Amino acid sequence: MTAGPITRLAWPLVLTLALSASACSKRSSVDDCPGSEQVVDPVLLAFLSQARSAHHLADQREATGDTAGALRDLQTLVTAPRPPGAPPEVAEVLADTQARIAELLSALGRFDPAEAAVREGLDSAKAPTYFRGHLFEVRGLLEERREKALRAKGRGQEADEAHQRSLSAYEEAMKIQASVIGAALPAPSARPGARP
Amino acid sequence: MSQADELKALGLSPDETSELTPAEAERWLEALGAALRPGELSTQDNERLITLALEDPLAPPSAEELAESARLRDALAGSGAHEDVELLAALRAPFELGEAESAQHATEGALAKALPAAAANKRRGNVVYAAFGATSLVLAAAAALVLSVGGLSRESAPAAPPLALAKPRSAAPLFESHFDSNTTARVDLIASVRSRDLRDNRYAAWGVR
Repeated sequence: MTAGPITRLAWPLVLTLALSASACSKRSSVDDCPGSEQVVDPVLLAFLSQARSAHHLADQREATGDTAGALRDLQTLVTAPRPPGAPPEVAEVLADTQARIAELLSALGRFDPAEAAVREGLDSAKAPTYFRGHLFEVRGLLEERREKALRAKGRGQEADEAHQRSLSAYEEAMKIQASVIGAALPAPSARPGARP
Repeated sequence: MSQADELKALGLSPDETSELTPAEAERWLEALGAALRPGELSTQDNERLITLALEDPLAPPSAEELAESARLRDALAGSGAHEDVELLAALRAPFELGEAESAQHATEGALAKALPAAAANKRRGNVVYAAFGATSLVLAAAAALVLSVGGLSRESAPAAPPLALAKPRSAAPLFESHFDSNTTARVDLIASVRSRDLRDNRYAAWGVR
C-alpha cells in the first residue's frame, strides 16, 4: 500500500511551511532554527539514541566477558560531539556513562583512570541529582576495591587512606540521595492526613 | 486430526467454531498457527519491514513525486491538466475575496469549501489514504495560501498563543518514583521519554495537537 504522489508531496510542503512559518519566524523551533529558544529536537534525540546504542553494546560485550570492548563503546560515547546548548539530560547521561566506565575500570583494577572518570562525571552532574549521588557511590566502590588490592599487597597505610576515601564517598552519596528523595516527597501540608 | 480438533487444540471452544465453514476454519487455523508458531522471517522481509517502519516524512522527494509536482505546477499555471487543480482552486477561492478578510476566516472558508471537493474527487481505492491525502493536501495548500497572500493582515488576526514545546531539562524527575539500578535501563527511559517529547513538539509545530 503506497500513498499517492500528491499525498507524499503534501507532507514536505506541510512540514516546510508549518515549521518555517510558525516555528522559525515567531516561536520556538522543533528543528532548531537559528537563534530560536532551545527545544527537544532531532539533534538531542540523535545523541540519546547514540547513548542508548552504546550502553546496549556495552551490555552485550560485558555479557561475553569483553570488558575492554564495553569500555571502548562507552568511551566512544563520552568523547563524541555533544548537542549544542548543553542540554541537562545530555550532561546527566554522560555523567551516568562515566559512572559505568569508572565501575568497569575499577573492576579491572585500574583505579586511577576510574577516579578520573568519576571526576569527569562530577563535572557534568553538578546539581544534587540521582546521577551525582550515583557517582559518589561508584567512587566509594572503587576506593573499597582499591583498599582491598592495596591491603593484599601489604600496603597498609595506603589501604587505610583508600578506606577513608571510600567511607567519605559513600556518606556523600547517601547525603545526596537523601536530598533527592526529600525533594521528591510531597510537602507536609500536601500529604494525606497531614495536620493543617 | 479434524479442523474442529485442531481449533480446540489451539484453545478455541467448539461453541465458537462449530458454525465456521471449512474454508473459514482453515483460515483461522492458518492465522492462529502463524501467530503461535511464527515462521522464519527472511532478511529481505525484515529489512523491508524496518524500511516501512522508518519511512521518513521529511525524506527528499522521489523522482515520481518531482514529476508529479511539476505536472501539478504546470496545470496550476494553465498548461495541461491535473486532477487536483479543482481542489486547489476551491482552496484558493476564499482568499480572493479581498484584503478585509482575516487569515483565519479565509482559512476556515477554504477548508469548508475544499473538503466537499476533496470528497467528490475521491478516486483512490483506499479510503484511509484518500482521506489522509486530502487532509494533507488541504493543510498544505491552506498553509501555502495563508503565507502567500500578503494582503491578509496579521494585525487583524488574533495573536496565536505561544507553542508549549518541550525543552531540554534534567532527567532526574524520571527517577523520583522509580530507580533503575541499571545504567542502560536509565538511558533507555531518558531516550524514550525525550522521543515522545520530540513527537509532541512536531505535532505542536504542525498545529495538530
